[in-house]
Amino acid sequence: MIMTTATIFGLAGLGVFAGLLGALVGIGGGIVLIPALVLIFGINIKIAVAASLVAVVATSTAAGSVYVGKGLSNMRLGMTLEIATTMGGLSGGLLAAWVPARILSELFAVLVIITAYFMLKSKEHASTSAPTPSSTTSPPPDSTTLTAVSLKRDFDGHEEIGRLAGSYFDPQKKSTIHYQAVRIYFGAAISYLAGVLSGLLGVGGGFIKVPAMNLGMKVPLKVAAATSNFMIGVTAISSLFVYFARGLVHPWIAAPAAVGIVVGALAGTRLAGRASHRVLKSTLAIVLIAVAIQMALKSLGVSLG
Amino acid sequence: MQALLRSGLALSVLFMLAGAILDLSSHHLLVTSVRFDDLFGMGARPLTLGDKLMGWGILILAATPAFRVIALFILWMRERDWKFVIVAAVVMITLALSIILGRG
Repeated sequence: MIMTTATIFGLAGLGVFAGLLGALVGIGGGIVLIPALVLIFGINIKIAVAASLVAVVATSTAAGSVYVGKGLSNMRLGMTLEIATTMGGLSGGLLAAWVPARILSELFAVLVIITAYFMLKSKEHASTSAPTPSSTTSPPPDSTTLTAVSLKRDFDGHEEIGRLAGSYFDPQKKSTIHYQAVRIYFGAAISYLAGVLSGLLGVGGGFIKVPAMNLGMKVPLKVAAATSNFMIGVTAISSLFVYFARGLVHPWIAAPAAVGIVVGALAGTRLAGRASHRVLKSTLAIVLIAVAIQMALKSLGVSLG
Repeated sequence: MQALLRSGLALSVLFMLAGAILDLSSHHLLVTSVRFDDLFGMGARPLTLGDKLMGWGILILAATPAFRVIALFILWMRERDWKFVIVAAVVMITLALSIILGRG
Protein backbone atom coordinates (compact mmCIF):
# COMPACT_ATOMS: atom_id res chain seq x y z
CA MET A 1 0.00 0.00 0.00
CA ILE A 2 1.36 3.40 -1.01
CA MET A 3 0.49 6.35 1.19
CA THR A 4 -0.56 9.57 -0.45
CA THR A 5 -0.97 12.90 1.30
CA ALA A 6 -4.72 12.42 0.88
CA THR A 7 -4.58 9.03 2.65
CA ILE A 8 -2.58 10.48 5.55
CA PHE A 9 -5.03 13.34 5.98
CA GLY A 10 -7.89 10.88 5.53
CA LEU A 11 -6.57 8.66 8.35
CA ALA A 12 -5.92 11.62 10.65
CA GLY A 13 -9.36 13.05 9.83
CA LEU A 14 -10.95 9.70 10.55
CA GLY A 15 -9.10 9.63 13.89
CA VAL A 16 -10.37 13.11 14.79
CA PHE A 17 -13.91 12.09 13.85
CA ALA A 18 -13.73 8.84 15.86
CA GLY A 19 -12.21 10.58 18.91
CA LEU A 20 -14.74 13.41 18.76
CA LEU A 21 -17.73 11.08 18.50
CA GLY A 22 -16.34 8.79 21.16
CA ALA A 23 -15.92 11.63 23.64
CA LEU A 24 -19.33 13.10 22.84
CA VAL A 25 -21.33 9.92 23.32
CA GLY A 26 -19.07 8.24 25.88
CA ILE A 27 -17.69 5.32 23.89
CA GLY A 28 -14.14 4.51 22.86
CA GLY A 29 -13.04 5.71 19.43
CA GLY A 30 -12.07 2.19 18.34
CA ILE A 31 -15.66 1.17 17.70
CA VAL A 32 -15.81 3.85 14.97
CA LEU A 33 -12.18 3.69 13.83
CA ILE A 34 -11.89 -0.05 13.12
CA PRO A 35 -14.90 -0.48 10.81
CA ALA A 36 -13.92 2.70 8.93
CA LEU A 37 -10.35 1.44 8.43
CA VAL A 38 -11.69 -1.88 7.16
CA LEU A 39 -14.58 -0.64 5.04
CA ILE A 40 -13.26 2.70 3.71
CA PHE A 41 -9.52 2.11 3.53
CA GLY A 42 -9.66 -1.65 2.83
CA ILE A 43 -7.20 -2.39 5.64
CA ASN A 44 -6.96 -5.91 7.11
CA ILE A 45 -8.91 -6.05 10.36
CA LYS A 46 -5.86 -7.27 12.37
CA ILE A 47 -3.84 -4.22 11.23
CA ALA A 48 -6.87 -2.02 12.02
CA VAL A 49 -7.12 -3.57 15.51
CA ALA A 50 -3.40 -2.87 16.10
CA ALA A 51 -3.89 0.76 14.99
CA SER A 52 -6.89 1.05 17.30
CA LEU A 53 -4.86 -0.31 20.24
CA VAL A 54 -2.22 2.39 19.61
CA ALA A 55 -5.04 4.97 19.62
CA VAL A 56 -6.49 3.49 22.83
CA VAL A 57 -3.10 3.82 24.57
CA ALA A 58 -2.71 7.41 23.31
CA THR A 59 -6.19 8.44 24.50
CA SER A 60 -5.80 6.72 27.85
CA THR A 61 -2.41 8.34 28.42
CA ALA A 62 -3.66 11.80 27.44
CA ALA A 63 -6.84 11.57 29.54
CA GLY A 64 -5.09 9.74 32.38
CA SER A 65 -2.92 12.70 33.24
CA VAL A 66 -6.07 14.72 33.96
CA TYR A 67 -7.58 12.01 36.16
CA VAL A 68 -4.42 11.35 38.15
CA GLY A 69 -4.22 15.04 38.99
CA LYS A 70 -7.76 15.08 40.25
CA GLY A 71 -7.15 12.03 42.39
CA LEU A 72 -10.26 10.26 41.19
CA SER A 73 -8.51 7.19 39.84
CA ASN A 74 -7.93 4.48 42.45
CA MET A 75 -4.65 2.98 41.32
CA ARG A 76 -4.61 0.15 43.84
CA LEU A 77 -8.02 -0.97 42.61
CA GLY A 78 -6.95 -0.46 39.00
CA MET A 79 -3.72 -2.40 39.42
CA THR A 80 -5.49 -5.28 41.19
CA LEU A 81 -8.01 -5.65 38.36
CA GLU A 82 -5.15 -5.09 35.92
CA ILE A 83 -3.80 -8.54 36.79
CA ALA A 84 -6.93 -9.95 35.16
CA THR A 85 -7.14 -7.48 32.26
CA THR A 86 -3.49 -7.85 31.21
CA MET A 87 -3.86 -11.63 31.29
CA GLY A 88 -7.04 -11.20 29.24
CA GLY A 89 -5.29 -8.80 26.86
CA LEU A 90 -2.42 -11.23 26.41
CA SER A 91 -4.87 -14.09 25.77
CA GLY A 92 -6.82 -11.95 23.29
CA GLY A 93 -3.67 -10.82 21.47
CA LEU A 94 -2.38 -14.37 21.14
CA LEU A 95 -5.82 -15.62 20.11
CA ALA A 96 -6.10 -12.94 17.41
CA ALA A 97 -3.09 -14.45 15.64
CA TRP A 98 -4.98 -17.74 15.24
CA VAL A 99 -8.49 -16.49 14.57
CA PRO A 100 -9.18 -15.88 10.85
CA ALA A 101 -9.84 -12.24 9.86
CA ARG A 102 -13.33 -13.28 8.70
CA ILE A 103 -14.30 -14.50 12.19
CA LEU A 104 -12.79 -11.37 13.79
CA SER A 105 -14.93 -9.20 11.48
CA GLU A 106 -18.03 -11.13 12.50
CA LEU A 107 -17.18 -10.88 16.21
CA PHE A 108 -16.55 -7.17 15.78
CA ALA A 109 -19.91 -6.76 14.04
CA VAL A 110 -21.62 -8.40 17.04
CA LEU A 111 -19.71 -6.09 19.43
CA VAL A 112 -20.76 -3.03 17.40
CA ILE A 113 -24.41 -4.09 17.51
CA ILE A 114 -24.24 -4.64 21.31
CA THR A 115 -22.63 -1.19 21.71
CA ALA A 116 -25.32 0.38 19.52
CA TYR A 117 -28.04 -1.36 21.56
CA PHE A 118 -26.65 -0.01 24.85
CA MET A 119 -26.28 3.45 23.32
CA LEU A 120 -29.95 3.44 22.37
CA LYS A 121 -30.95 2.14 25.80
CA SER A 122 -28.73 4.34 27.96
CA LYS A 123 -29.91 7.57 29.54
CA GLU A 124 -28.91 10.81 27.88
CA HIS A 125 -26.47 11.83 30.59
CA ALA A 126 -24.91 8.41 31.22
CA SER A 127 -21.34 8.16 30.09
CA THR A 128 -19.30 5.07 30.90
CA SER A 129 -15.94 5.89 29.32
CA ALA A 130 -16.05 9.65 29.28
CA PRO A 131 -12.61 11.21 29.34
CA THR A 132 -13.29 13.89 31.91
CA PRO A 133 -14.73 13.81 35.39
CA SER A 134 -17.19 16.55 34.49
CA SER A 135 -18.95 14.35 31.96
CA THR A 136 -19.60 11.49 34.36
CA THR A 137 -22.70 11.26 36.46
CA SER A 138 -22.82 11.47 40.22
CA PRO A 139 -22.60 8.12 41.98
CA PRO A 140 -25.83 6.71 43.36
CA PRO A 141 -26.02 7.17 47.14
CA ASP A 142 -25.99 3.45 47.87
CA SER A 143 -22.68 2.94 46.08
CA THR A 144 -20.67 4.78 48.69
CA THR A 145 -19.80 4.15 52.28
CA LEU A 146 -20.10 7.43 54.11
CA THR A 147 -18.05 7.39 57.26
CA ALA A 148 -16.63 10.09 59.46
CA VAL A 149 -13.67 7.95 60.41
CA SER A 150 -10.29 9.50 59.77
CA LEU A 151 -8.55 7.32 57.21
CA LYS A 152 -4.89 6.75 56.51
CA ARG A 153 -4.39 7.92 52.96
CA ASP A 154 -1.57 7.98 50.46
CA PHE A 155 0.27 10.84 48.75
CA ASP A 156 -2.65 12.44 46.98
CA GLY A 157 -5.06 11.73 49.78
CA HIS A 158 -7.64 9.76 47.83
CA GLU A 159 -6.88 6.09 48.30
CA GLU A 160 -6.07 4.06 51.37
CA ILE A 161 -2.83 2.19 51.87
CA GLY A 162 -3.23 -1.58 51.96
CA ARG A 163 -6.94 -1.57 51.02
CA LEU A 164 -9.17 -1.18 48.00
CA ALA A 165 -10.84 1.87 49.44
CA GLY A 166 -10.62 5.61 49.16
CA SER A 167 -12.41 8.91 49.10
CA TYR A 168 -12.94 11.97 46.94
CA PHE A 169 -14.58 15.35 47.30
CA ASP A 170 -17.81 15.70 45.36
CA PRO A 171 -18.33 19.39 44.51
CA GLN A 172 -22.02 18.80 43.69
CA LYS A 173 -22.75 17.26 47.09
CA LYS A 174 -20.14 19.45 48.79
CA SER A 175 -18.98 16.48 50.82
CA THR A 176 -16.23 13.88 50.88
CA ILE A 177 -17.39 10.51 49.57
CA HIS A 178 -15.76 7.41 51.04
CA TYR A 179 -15.98 4.02 49.37
CA GLN A 180 -14.81 0.45 49.77
CA ALA A 181 -14.61 -1.93 46.80
CA VAL A 182 -16.32 -5.30 47.34
CA ARG A 183 -16.56 -8.60 45.35
CA ILE A 184 -13.02 -8.46 43.95
CA TYR A 185 -13.24 -11.87 42.27
CA PHE A 186 -16.37 -10.82 40.39
CA GLY A 187 -14.55 -7.67 39.21
CA ALA A 188 -11.52 -9.73 38.20
CA ALA A 189 -13.62 -12.15 36.14
CA ILE A 190 -15.34 -9.30 34.26
CA SER A 191 -11.98 -7.54 33.84
CA TYR A 192 -10.48 -10.67 32.27
CA LEU A 193 -13.32 -10.74 29.76
CA ALA A 194 -12.79 -7.02 29.02
CA GLY A 195 -9.08 -7.74 28.48
CA VAL A 196 -9.79 -10.55 26.01
CA LEU A 197 -12.16 -8.29 24.06
CA SER A 198 -9.55 -5.52 24.07
CA GLY A 199 -6.81 -7.81 22.77
CA LEU A 200 -9.00 -9.50 20.20
CA LEU A 201 -10.98 -6.55 18.87
CA GLY A 202 -8.90 -3.46 19.77
CA VAL A 203 -11.44 -1.74 22.00
CA GLY A 204 -10.87 -0.31 25.47
CA GLY A 205 -13.53 -2.42 27.19
CA GLY A 206 -14.56 0.40 29.54
CA PHE A 207 -18.21 -0.23 28.72
CA ILE A 208 -17.95 -3.58 30.57
CA LYS A 209 -15.59 -2.62 33.40
CA VAL A 210 -17.25 0.61 34.52
CA PRO A 211 -20.71 -0.93 35.20
CA ALA A 212 -19.00 -3.98 36.78
CA MET A 213 -17.03 -1.76 39.16
CA ASN A 214 -19.96 0.57 39.83
CA LEU A 215 -22.83 -1.89 40.21
CA GLY A 216 -20.94 -5.07 41.12
CA MET A 217 -18.10 -3.75 43.26
CA LYS A 218 -19.88 -0.71 44.75
CA VAL A 219 -17.30 1.77 43.50
CA PRO A 220 -18.66 5.30 42.77
CA LEU A 221 -19.18 5.92 39.06
CA LYS A 222 -16.67 8.78 38.89
CA VAL A 223 -13.97 6.64 40.47
CA ALA A 224 -14.92 3.65 38.29
CA ALA A 225 -14.68 5.71 35.08
CA ALA A 226 -11.32 7.22 36.07
CA THR A 227 -9.91 3.89 37.25
CA SER A 228 -11.11 2.15 34.08
CA ASN A 229 -9.33 4.78 32.01
CA PHE A 230 -6.09 4.14 33.91
CA MET A 231 -6.54 0.40 33.32
CA ILE A 232 -7.39 0.67 29.61
CA GLY A 233 -3.91 1.90 28.68
CA VAL A 234 -2.12 -0.90 30.53
CA THR A 235 -4.56 -3.53 29.20
CA ALA A 236 -4.11 -2.30 25.63
CA ILE A 237 -0.31 -2.59 25.77
CA SER A 238 -0.47 -6.20 26.96
CA SER A 239 -1.95 -7.10 23.56
CA LEU A 240 -0.28 -4.28 21.61
CA PHE A 241 3.12 -5.81 22.47
CA VAL A 242 1.92 -9.06 20.84
CA TYR A 243 0.72 -7.21 17.72
CA PHE A 244 4.01 -5.28 17.66
CA ALA A 245 6.07 -8.46 17.86
CA ARG A 246 4.02 -10.10 15.11
CA GLY A 247 4.49 -7.23 12.61
CA LEU A 248 0.89 -6.02 12.64
CA VAL A 249 1.71 -2.44 13.69
CA HIS A 250 1.97 -0.20 10.62
CA PRO A 251 3.19 3.21 11.80
CA TRP A 252 1.83 5.01 8.73
CA ILE A 253 -1.65 3.74 9.58
CA ALA A 254 -1.49 3.79 13.39
CA ALA A 255 0.28 7.14 13.93
CA PRO A 256 -2.07 9.48 11.99
CA ALA A 257 -5.13 7.68 13.36
CA ALA A 258 -3.83 7.82 16.97
CA VAL A 259 -2.85 11.49 16.81
CA GLY A 260 -6.24 12.26 15.21
CA ILE A 261 -8.13 10.38 17.94
CA VAL A 262 -6.35 12.26 20.75
CA VAL A 263 -7.09 15.62 19.08
CA GLY A 264 -10.71 14.58 18.46
CA ALA A 265 -11.19 13.30 22.02
CA LEU A 266 -9.82 16.55 23.48
CA ALA A 267 -12.14 18.60 21.26
CA GLY A 268 -15.06 16.28 22.08
CA THR A 269 -14.45 16.71 25.79
CA ARG A 270 -14.79 20.49 25.45
CA LEU A 271 -17.96 20.15 23.37
CA ALA A 272 -19.48 17.42 25.56
CA GLY A 273 -21.75 19.73 27.51
CA ARG A 274 -23.13 21.53 24.48
CA ALA A 275 -24.20 18.91 21.95
CA SER A 276 -27.55 17.15 22.02
CA HIS A 277 -26.46 13.71 23.15
CA ARG A 278 -29.78 11.97 22.63
CA VAL A 279 -29.98 12.79 18.91
CA LEU A 280 -26.27 12.13 18.43
CA LYS A 281 -26.41 8.78 20.23
CA SER A 282 -29.47 7.60 18.30
CA THR A 283 -27.95 8.63 14.97
CA LEU A 284 -24.62 7.03 15.74
CA ALA A 285 -26.31 3.85 16.98
CA ILE A 286 -28.24 3.51 13.71
CA VAL A 287 -25.07 4.18 11.66
CA LEU A 288 -23.18 1.61 13.75
CA ILE A 289 -25.85 -1.04 13.14
CA ALA A 290 -25.58 -0.40 9.38
CA VAL A 291 -21.79 -0.58 9.63
CA ALA A 292 -21.99 -3.86 11.58
CA ILE A 293 -24.26 -5.39 8.94
CA GLN A 294 -21.89 -4.30 6.18
CA MET A 295 -18.88 -5.73 8.05
CA ALA A 296 -20.66 -9.03 8.56
CA LEU A 297 -21.68 -9.15 4.89
CA LYS A 298 -18.15 -8.31 3.78
CA SER A 299 -16.75 -11.11 5.92
CA LEU A 300 -19.20 -13.48 4.23
CA GLY A 301 -18.02 -12.31 0.83
CA VAL A 302 -21.19 -10.37 0.00
CA SER A 303 -20.45 -6.95 -1.52
CA LEU A 304 -22.91 -4.11 -1.52
CA GLY A 305 -20.82 -2.28 -4.10
CA MET B 1 2.91 10.68 37.61
CA GLN B 2 1.37 13.34 35.37
CA ALA B 3 4.84 14.41 34.28
CA LEU B 4 5.64 10.82 33.33
CA LEU B 5 2.50 10.52 31.18
CA ARG B 6 2.99 13.89 29.52
CA SER B 7 6.69 13.26 28.84
CA GLY B 8 5.93 9.86 27.32
CA LEU B 9 3.20 11.28 25.14
CA ALA B 10 5.30 14.28 24.03
CA LEU B 11 8.38 12.17 23.28
CA SER B 12 6.29 9.68 21.35
CA VAL B 13 4.63 12.38 19.21
CA LEU B 14 8.07 13.96 18.62
CA PHE B 15 9.48 10.66 17.29
CA MET B 16 6.41 10.01 15.14
CA LEU B 17 6.54 13.51 13.69
CA ALA B 18 10.29 13.32 13.02
CA GLY B 19 9.82 9.96 11.29
CA ALA B 20 6.91 11.22 9.24
CA ILE B 21 8.82 14.34 8.13
CA LEU B 22 11.85 12.22 7.16
CA ASP B 23 9.71 9.79 5.17
CA LEU B 24 7.77 12.61 3.51
CA SER B 25 10.94 14.49 2.57
CA SER B 26 12.43 11.39 0.97
CA HIS B 27 9.09 10.55 -0.72
CA HIS B 28 9.13 7.15 0.97
CA LEU B 29 5.48 6.52 1.63
CA LEU B 30 5.24 2.76 1.43
CA VAL B 31 3.15 1.36 4.26
CA THR B 32 5.18 -1.22 6.08
CA SER B 33 4.97 -2.90 9.45
CA VAL B 34 7.56 -2.31 12.14
CA ARG B 35 8.42 -5.09 14.60
CA PHE B 36 10.35 -5.12 17.87
CA ASP B 37 13.21 -6.85 16.09
CA ASP B 38 13.47 -4.08 13.47
CA LEU B 39 13.86 -1.46 16.18
CA PHE B 40 16.59 -3.31 18.03
CA GLY B 41 18.65 -4.11 14.94
CA MET B 42 17.67 -7.78 14.91
CA GLY B 43 15.39 -7.65 11.88
CA ALA B 44 16.67 -8.54 8.43
CA ARG B 45 14.27 -6.18 6.66
CA PRO B 46 15.62 -2.85 5.43
CA LEU B 47 13.61 -0.03 6.97
CA THR B 48 14.03 3.68 6.39
CA LEU B 49 15.15 5.85 9.32
CA GLY B 50 11.76 7.56 9.10
CA ASP B 51 9.89 4.26 9.53
CA LYS B 52 12.17 3.31 12.43
CA LEU B 53 11.58 6.66 14.15
CA MET B 54 7.83 6.27 13.76
CA GLY B 55 8.12 2.74 15.16
CA TRP B 56 10.10 4.07 18.14
CA GLY B 57 7.40 6.70 18.64
CA ILE B 58 4.76 3.98 18.92
CA LEU B 59 7.00 1.88 21.19
CA ILE B 60 7.57 4.88 23.51
CA LEU B 61 3.82 5.46 23.60
CA ALA B 62 3.25 1.79 24.46
CA ALA B 63 5.99 1.88 27.11
CA THR B 64 4.48 4.88 28.92
CA PRO B 65 1.70 2.94 30.73
CA ALA B 66 4.29 0.24 31.55
CA PHE B 67 6.52 2.88 33.19
CA ARG B 68 3.47 3.97 35.16
CA VAL B 69 3.19 0.42 36.54
CA ILE B 70 6.91 0.48 37.45
CA ALA B 71 6.51 3.91 39.10
CA LEU B 72 3.63 2.62 41.23
CA PHE B 73 5.65 -0.50 42.10
CA ILE B 74 8.43 1.77 43.45
CA LEU B 75 5.97 4.11 45.20
CA TRP B 76 4.21 1.26 47.01
CA MET B 77 7.55 -0.27 47.90
CA ARG B 78 8.53 3.02 49.60
CA GLU B 79 5.22 2.98 51.44
CA ARG B 80 5.85 -0.66 52.43
CA ASP B 81 2.44 -1.56 51.01
CA TRP B 82 3.68 -5.06 50.20
CA LYS B 83 0.34 -6.48 49.08
CA PHE B 84 0.21 -3.98 46.22
CA VAL B 85 3.93 -4.27 45.50
CA ILE B 86 3.19 -7.93 44.65
CA VAL B 87 0.13 -6.92 42.60
CA ALA B 88 2.22 -4.48 40.53
CA ALA B 89 4.95 -7.11 40.14
CA VAL B 90 2.45 -9.63 38.74
CA VAL B 91 1.25 -7.03 36.21
CA MET B 92 4.86 -6.30 35.19
CA ILE B 93 5.52 -10.02 34.73
CA THR B 94 2.38 -10.36 32.55
CA LEU B 95 3.51 -7.42 30.38
CA ALA B 96 6.97 -8.99 30.02
CA LEU B 97 5.29 -12.27 29.08
CA SER B 98 3.32 -10.52 26.33
CA ILE B 99 6.59 -9.38 24.72
CA ILE B 100 8.19 -12.83 25.07
CA LEU B 101 5.14 -14.86 23.97
CA GLY B 102 4.30 -12.38 21.22
CA ARG B 103 7.67 -12.90 19.62
CA GLY B 104 7.33 -16.66 19.88
